[in-house]
Amino acid sequence: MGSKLLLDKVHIENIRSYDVYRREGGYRSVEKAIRSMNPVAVMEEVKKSGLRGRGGAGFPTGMKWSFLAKPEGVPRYLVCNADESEPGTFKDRYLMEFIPHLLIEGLIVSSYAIGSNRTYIYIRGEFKWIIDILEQAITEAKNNGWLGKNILGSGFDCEIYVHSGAGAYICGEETALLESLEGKRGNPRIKPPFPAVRGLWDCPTVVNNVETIAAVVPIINDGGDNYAKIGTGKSTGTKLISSCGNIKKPGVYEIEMSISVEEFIYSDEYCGGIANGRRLKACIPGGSSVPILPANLLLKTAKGDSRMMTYESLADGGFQSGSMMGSGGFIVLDEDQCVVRHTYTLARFYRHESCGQCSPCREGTGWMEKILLNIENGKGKMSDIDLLWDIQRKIEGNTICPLGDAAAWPVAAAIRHFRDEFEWHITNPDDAQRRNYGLANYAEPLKVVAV
Amino acid sequence: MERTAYINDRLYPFEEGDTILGFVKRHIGKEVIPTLCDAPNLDPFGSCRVCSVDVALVKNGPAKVQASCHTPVIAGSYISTDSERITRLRRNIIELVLTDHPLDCLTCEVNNNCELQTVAAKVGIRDVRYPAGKNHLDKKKDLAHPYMTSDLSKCINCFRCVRACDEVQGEFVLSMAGRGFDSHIVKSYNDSFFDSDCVSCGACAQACPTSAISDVFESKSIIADKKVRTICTYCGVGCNLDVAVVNGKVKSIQAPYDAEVNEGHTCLKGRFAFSFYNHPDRLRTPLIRKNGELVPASWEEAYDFIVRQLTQIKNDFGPDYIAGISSARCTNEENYLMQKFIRAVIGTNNIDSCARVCHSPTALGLQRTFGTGAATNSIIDLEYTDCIMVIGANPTDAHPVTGAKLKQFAIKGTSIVIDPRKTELAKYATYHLQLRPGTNVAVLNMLLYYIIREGLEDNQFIASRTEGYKEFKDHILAMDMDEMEKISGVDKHLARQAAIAYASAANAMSFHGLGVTEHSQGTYTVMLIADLAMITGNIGKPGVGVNPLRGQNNVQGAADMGCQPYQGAGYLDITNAENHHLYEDFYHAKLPLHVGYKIPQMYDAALNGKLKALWLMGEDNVQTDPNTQHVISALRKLDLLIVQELFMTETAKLAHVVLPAASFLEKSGTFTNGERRIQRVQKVVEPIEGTKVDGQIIVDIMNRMGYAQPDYDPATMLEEISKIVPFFAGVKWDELGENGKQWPVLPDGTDTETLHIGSFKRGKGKFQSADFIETKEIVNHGKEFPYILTTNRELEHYNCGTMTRRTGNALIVTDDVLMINPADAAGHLIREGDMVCVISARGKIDVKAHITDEVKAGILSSTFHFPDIKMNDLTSDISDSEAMCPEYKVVAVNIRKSKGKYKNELNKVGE
Repeated sequence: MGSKLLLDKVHIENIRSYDVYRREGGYRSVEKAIRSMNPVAVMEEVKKSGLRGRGGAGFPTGMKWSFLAKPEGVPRYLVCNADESEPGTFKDRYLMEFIPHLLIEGLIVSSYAIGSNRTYIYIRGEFKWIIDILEQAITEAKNNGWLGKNILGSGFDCEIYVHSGAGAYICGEETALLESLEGKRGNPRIKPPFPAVRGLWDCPTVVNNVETIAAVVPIINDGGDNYAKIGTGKSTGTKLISSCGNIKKPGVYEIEMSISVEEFIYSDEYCGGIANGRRLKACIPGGSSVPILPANLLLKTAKGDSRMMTYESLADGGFQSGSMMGSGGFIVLDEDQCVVRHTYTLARFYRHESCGQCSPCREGTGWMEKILLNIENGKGKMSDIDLLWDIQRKIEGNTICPLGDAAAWPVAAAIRHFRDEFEWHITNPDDAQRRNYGLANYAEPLKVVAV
Repeated sequence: MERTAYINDRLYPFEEGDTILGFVKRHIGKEVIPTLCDAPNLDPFGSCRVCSVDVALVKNGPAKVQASCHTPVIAGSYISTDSERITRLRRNIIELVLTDHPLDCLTCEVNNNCELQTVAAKVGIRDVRYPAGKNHLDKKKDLAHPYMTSDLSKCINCFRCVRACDEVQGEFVLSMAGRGFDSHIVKSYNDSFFDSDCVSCGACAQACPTSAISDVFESKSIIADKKVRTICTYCGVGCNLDVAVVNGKVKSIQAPYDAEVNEGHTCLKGRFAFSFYNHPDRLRTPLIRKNGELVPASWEEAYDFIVRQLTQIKNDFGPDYIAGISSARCTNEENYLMQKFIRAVIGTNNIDSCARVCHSPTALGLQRTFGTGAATNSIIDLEYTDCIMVIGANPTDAHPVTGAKLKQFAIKGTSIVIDPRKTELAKYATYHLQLRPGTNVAVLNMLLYYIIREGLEDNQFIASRTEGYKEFKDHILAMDMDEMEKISGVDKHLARQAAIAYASAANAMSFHGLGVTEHSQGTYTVMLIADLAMITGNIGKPGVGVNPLRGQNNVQGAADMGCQPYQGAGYLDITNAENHHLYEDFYHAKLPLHVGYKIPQMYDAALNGKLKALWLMGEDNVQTDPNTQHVISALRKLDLLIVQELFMTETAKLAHVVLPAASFLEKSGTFTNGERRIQRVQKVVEPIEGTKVDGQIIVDIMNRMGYAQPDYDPATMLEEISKIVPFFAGVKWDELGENGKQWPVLPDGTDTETLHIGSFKRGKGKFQSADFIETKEIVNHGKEFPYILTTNRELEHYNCGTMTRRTGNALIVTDDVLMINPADAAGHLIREGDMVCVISARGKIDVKAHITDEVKAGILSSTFHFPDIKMNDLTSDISDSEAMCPEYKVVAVNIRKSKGKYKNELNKVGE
């Protein structure tokens, strides 16, 4: 059984309350950081840990912190991105709901490192009950001297505010999040300037994911070097994976980044295998926006190596034959699932969530949805597949924010790996209404399609 | 690293902060990279992605697609503007956009002028591969507004209108509602411009790349026979206008982006309110009063009549029985001619202009303190300042383009507003000192007191550049702040904070308007504002200074040209023997050495039989001068009243001779704006039949009275002016260019952005203290008339509305209203829209109530845009003790609910 750093105490009764959390060793990292380390030392420890952003992009956290501009007399802000809205991803919700003090503790230490005296948690509006949980945790922390003025007599002041989103997926994009936090329409900003230079209220700002912030706690407690010993290569530490779909045991798992995808799916410690005796057809390993992989490419890389649950291995082969760790939303599809319908569902989501700012995304997401629906309903044409391909190519990389990419990738990967299923839908419209294409040859030995 | 990068494999230098788009535009050309969401006066936005280019870090290396409009140039990078994949990308984006855009180009307003159409043609769209789908083509047109129109089925969601509304005007009316494909433009909370808070500036229409937002004149798309660049006739901002002419008629007006003054922006007056120029009401023939009636006459008859009458009066009574009032609406050349005519041909100094009733205290006050009576700095200085102070000015209504810039500043920076009303700017201000009207001097003394008390003076500046500081300081420090607080109604702590903010800013800039000048202590107020600038060293560098917001388009020029009874062209004192000789030699005429009448003195002289003839060029004194009944009686006493006008104004109705003049669109010349910028007014269309250019009328009379003056021509007139007005020395018609020059213009043609660098015109700046003195209006009438009425302006109308009331503006603001505080309204049982009778010691009027907290209890405010209301029946003939500028801003009145239709004298006059 792998080591757990974030969820090791999550099953302790009443860990949500301050007293139990503290009794179990909570807030030690704050004591250690504030009493015996200066902010630079905290940042160095995070750099040493090799921690990478857990929101999806996987950017090294210590480096992100070090980019922060520090002009004299200008406040700096830490903003925690708790706007977890990616379909299939629910790890942050789990963490905040069941062990809220871990986030608060991580935020205090991180705020200390960055020099943020006002720190915000921007939380998805639908998580109404979690807002209450966090507010409660903040109040408890404050009552016990971990927040407010002059924390632990250090002269460091910090307040944490919870700000609720209003139902827009786009506000999970960091600059749209900042716009929304400022009270404006949640449209992403053009970059540069980056938030590290001009973020919230035009001040230098770091935006970090919930899990990233939580990971700072064990890093400070045990040291960055020890954290880096867990995992492999540049995938250090543990990662929360929220798995769902056609598996026996859906849920949030904390894994060491050294196990294989196969182990994660089939081991009883994790997903427990495919449900109902079905066979694995495909999987989206990192949240709805990352490329879907057929079973053969999921379990083994194009080179024939076993695919591991690491940033590097999941991305092995690029988009040609690989995918991404993303946000850790692990969605498993069995042989009864229709890739066309599935892709349409995702396209519908991204069309609904496009902010409408950039023309390729605003118009393109709508057309992808419409064309996919036509194919799904048996009204597709062969040329539609190329048109879909063309649209996604025009969206990817051609928008202000990554939502465009997020909308394009699922469609691109579906066509890349499951083109025969799309063609079958078009050539057999009536059949397609009655039955599924099935497993076909997706679990067959490797056949990398050149596109 | 060297600042160079490759464009399509050729190396070019770039500048710090260059975007790829800017870089390519400069070196290769404006049309190379197509754009949709980019506009010259807006920040980069990056949403249309049509401007995408390929950028590689090494030659033939892997390239990344970047939106060129906001991506900075990377040194040594390779930019390809039209690689195959970029071309395809652009084509596909436009194709996507066209799936939700009507393809009815032939019947579209902007056909051939549509940016979408141009880009589509450029990228070569031949068909749209998408089937008919969900779209927004059924959106209804919004045609309810007199000017603004929209057809949002044509909207391509580029946000240009939203950004223009935010970034250019700062009105925040337009915004994008909905998300993604459902994104759509809303106007406030409405679908209609007319029901929204829109100020009709037209920035959105000009910004919109399609016809989604436009105006009734189809300004951006009109196919004109010619477009003429000229200067707006309304306020002292001096916006440049591009006027489109079709078949000899003005069809529309746009704001040129390369205009330094207005940078592609203007207001609804400049942009839309031009239809007065060929309104049926225009006077088209001279009129001579015969048997009490004004009857049509030929120009020759009118000229003969005038010459005969003037000659006779001059012979019978002497030249001092004749006076002229020049016009700040006319060109410099015409003003120069008018004063020359009065001085050299008639032989009197009885020449004044409407500057008297607005900014004469500014000219006088600044001359006394600095030596030059003009704005010390330029509007561009807003880019270099850290704090603005706006005193007695409502620029968002009266100087809309400068007002928008001030508002943009106030939204982001430190601003102090001193005004009795909660003006739009006051709502954004860091400090709003809401004083009782008439107590400017008290409030400014408070600011000075706290600056000195806090030790925030600039001692080095005071020591090296000024005189009289010791006495000044002692005088200020002896003042009682509690008493000032009581007088002005301004919290002394707030005054202290504002004083500290102004004095501690690295650069602080003040602006003032008629709320400073139109008071009995107007000149002293101006001097105290100048003292504030000097005590803090805020003079003689960019981003500082004292900047009067001149009211009329050429009020600066009228004064520069010598239209005042004590100074000739170029502000030379006419009582000085040396100057006298200079002028006599220059004009080849015998000139009087004594000072003539100012406007208020002219009325008194007329009533006393000391003035027999008055020539008015383009001014409606009856409606605009205070104490209307007094003015009417004076004008009626005259033997000869000559009025040069566009329309039959309240004043023209009293004239013996009315001469139909030409409007600004029908003549050439120069206007000088509030920042001393001499700009070229270019004739757009021929004067309508029967009318003549004001300058030519004067020239005709001069010649008929025996003074040889060549025909009116701006180039030759300017040449003459440049020889007598020192600060016009280097002004030449052909060299003024598109953006004009700011005086002083040296003989070699260089102009001046900032005055008083190094030294003042008068040597040292002179500190002079002033104590608050309650106006006689309050002392004499305050008990009986406990309310204070102050007058103001509305955005939609200009002064007495002669022009704006004859345009669509009259459909937006239909009448004068009386602003009244809710508490006062409740006290008199007045409801919104009720008629209220307002009574002063001079007269009474009835006006509709508008209940608002824009005014404090006890204070009322109204406008005089509409002649029916006769607001100036109420105002007094008290004026500034120094410059004789009338006190429009403090009128002691009482109010009650109206009882019946109040009729007064003026109605009968018109009949």
